[in-house]
Amino acid sequence: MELYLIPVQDKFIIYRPLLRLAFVGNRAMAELAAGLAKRPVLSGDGLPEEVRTFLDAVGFLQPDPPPPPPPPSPYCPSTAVLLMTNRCNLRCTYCYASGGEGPVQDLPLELAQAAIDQVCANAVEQKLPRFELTFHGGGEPVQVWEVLQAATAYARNKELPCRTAIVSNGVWTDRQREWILENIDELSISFDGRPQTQDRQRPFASGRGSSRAVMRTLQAMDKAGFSYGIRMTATAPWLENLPEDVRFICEETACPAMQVEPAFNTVRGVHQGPTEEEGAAFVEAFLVAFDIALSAGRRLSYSAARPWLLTQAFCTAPYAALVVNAAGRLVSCYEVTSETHPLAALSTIGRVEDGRVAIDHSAHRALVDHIEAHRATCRDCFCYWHCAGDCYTRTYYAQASAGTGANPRCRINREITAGMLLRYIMAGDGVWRGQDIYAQEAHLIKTF
Amino acid sequence: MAEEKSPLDLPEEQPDEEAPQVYSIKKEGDGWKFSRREFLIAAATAAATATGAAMHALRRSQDTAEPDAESAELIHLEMAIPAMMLVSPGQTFVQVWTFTNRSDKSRCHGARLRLLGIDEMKAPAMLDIPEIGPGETVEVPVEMTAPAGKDAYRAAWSLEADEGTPPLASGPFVVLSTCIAESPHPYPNSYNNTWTVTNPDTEAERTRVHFSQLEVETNWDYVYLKDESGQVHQTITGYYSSGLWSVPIPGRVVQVQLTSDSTVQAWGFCLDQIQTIRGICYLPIIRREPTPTPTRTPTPTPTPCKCYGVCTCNPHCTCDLIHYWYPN
Repeated sequence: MELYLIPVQDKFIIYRPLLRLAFVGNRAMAELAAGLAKRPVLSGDGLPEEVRTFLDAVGFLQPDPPPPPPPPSPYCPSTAVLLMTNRCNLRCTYCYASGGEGPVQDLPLELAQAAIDQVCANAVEQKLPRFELTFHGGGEPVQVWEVLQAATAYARNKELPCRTAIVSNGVWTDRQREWILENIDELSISFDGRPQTQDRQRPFASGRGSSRAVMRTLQAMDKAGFSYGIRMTATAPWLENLPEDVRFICEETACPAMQVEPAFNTVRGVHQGPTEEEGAAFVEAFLVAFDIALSAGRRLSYSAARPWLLTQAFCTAPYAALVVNAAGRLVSCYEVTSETHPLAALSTIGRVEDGRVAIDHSAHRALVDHIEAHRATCRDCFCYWHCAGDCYTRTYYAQASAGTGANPRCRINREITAGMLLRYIMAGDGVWRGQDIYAQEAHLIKTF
Repeated sequence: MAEEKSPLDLPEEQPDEEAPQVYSIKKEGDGWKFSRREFLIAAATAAATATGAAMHALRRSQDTAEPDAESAELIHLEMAIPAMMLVSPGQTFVQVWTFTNRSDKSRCHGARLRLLGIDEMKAPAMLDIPEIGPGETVEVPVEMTAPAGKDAYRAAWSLEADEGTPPLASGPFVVLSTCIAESPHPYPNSYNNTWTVTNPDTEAERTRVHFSQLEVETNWDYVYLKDESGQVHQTITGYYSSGLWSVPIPGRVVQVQLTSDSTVQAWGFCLDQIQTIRGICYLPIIRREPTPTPTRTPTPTPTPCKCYGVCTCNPHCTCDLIHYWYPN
């Protein structure tokens, strides 16, 4: 029985992640639960009757179900992620890739086709019903419009159906928007909220604000009934901005789901982890924003706090995606876009050359071993089955910033996860048993 | 049913930190407020949910037993069972069980309600159910006394008929003197509000609710009772100071909507009981008497025991049938 006792004020969240069960008890209940975890007893053996009835009713005395399966192995990806270009029409203040700067590098169509061929063949071999194709960044994928269209058409003509997705800044022409709505299955728009936030953080290269252009795209998608996600980046001062930016999105768009990630760098082109104070400020702001989103029936998430999910892998990219950057290298993380990245050597697992994909399986094995070795250090954490060791690149920056001290990103992850558990418990009238707290609010999504 | 109201004096916090306690929580400012009292309703609901699921399995196992050839006529009983009610600490109150024989020909006779387990309350160990002819309904009042000083209690019963014993359980009830749902007193003019009440019994086919008091301006203000989909099943207007039962509403969810016009206010309503309506079909079963062991004398009158699954104190006890209530 895997049990965690998470302090909250003078009480404890009594949490069994694999059983998806959480409730709040006092110290005596926490100690009782800990004792039961070490030595399960038949009900009636010395437990107060009221306690036994409760523990029976909520299933606490049940054994843990099996843990989630490990990531797929061997590496045989059925999703192609094409990092299309380093060109970008925006100059986001926190852009780790310095998008739009430096010599232009676009992904040639032949490399895109080779990646598509490979993942389609993998999907056929695995008898999957389809393969996936995602256009992603380092720059803005729509900037290489012809390649994007041609790659989509190429994928659509393969022997298996293809599900397409794009991660974009949403600055599109009318014609581009119409084509995307017609040809792309899933959309994630990078958008930071209120005009003052969006214009400050995500200006055009000219310095002009991008808010109006992106809002036009969002409104057009809402009008077309196209479901999309919004990827927000939040910067300091978090408490002043993030909740209001989330409120703005809830009020002005029909977007059902937002993901927010904090940026702690103040200079383009660099990665930087948080200080403890910055981490604490982000946690506070996130949870306030979470409540705002919840009351509007929207999902707000942060990638490393996901108590609803049981997994052994933070991200599918190293295990199930063939990520090709504009230089034709196969990388294991969307954020490792440059050879100068400190994790570039670890994260480069092959290349596309001469029209074929050449995976360096020993490099891939070394990467997986690195991730697994880090995850093993998390075994005593209540987030172990949720963040699964966290993002190996972001953890690296956070640890680099913290030096020999505790990783402040872990503290963020744990505090947000605990905060979300408390909200789940509240929504469950005292007990969370894995239910989706959004289900009862789902109708609001349609009417917003 | 609660005969009179008294102030609720339960402490919000349990001072006895040596006893294990569980809390419901609410966001309050930057922190959390922990409430023992509200959790009790949730815990009782959870217990009822667990009970309902297990009862279903147990009923199936009963169905596979060997029926007696002479009494193998199907009996279809419809029961109205208290699922949740609010009473005051120390109060003597009456739970009314209603049985309707829906069989075409079979008479239900010799049935009894037997108390299997109870939480610190006084209640009769056995109640005879009068003979019920086809289409007839009988009411069986069960007088119980709630203890003082604690706050959530349950009782488990079985229905015995010719020793075939389709199990059932009374719903959980909570010793509180507030309402499960209530309007403002008096309600405002031009008011329109809806409360949603969920029967904790997951096997409820229909649900009735009881108002300890309902007073709205006759023919101008209304209480509408709707099912989960919003379909209206009952419209109530007027003054019912001594309370009333609703008609059965399909499903487990009852929506109570109160609307008022622009003049004349009245007291409003307090909803204080939830009742399950469900049917049960069974073949009466003749069981062999257990073979007495030479070393132990059977106890002639079964009494509630707390062996919870493997009875060692009483060979007549059927506590091995109530795993659903106290599962190992």
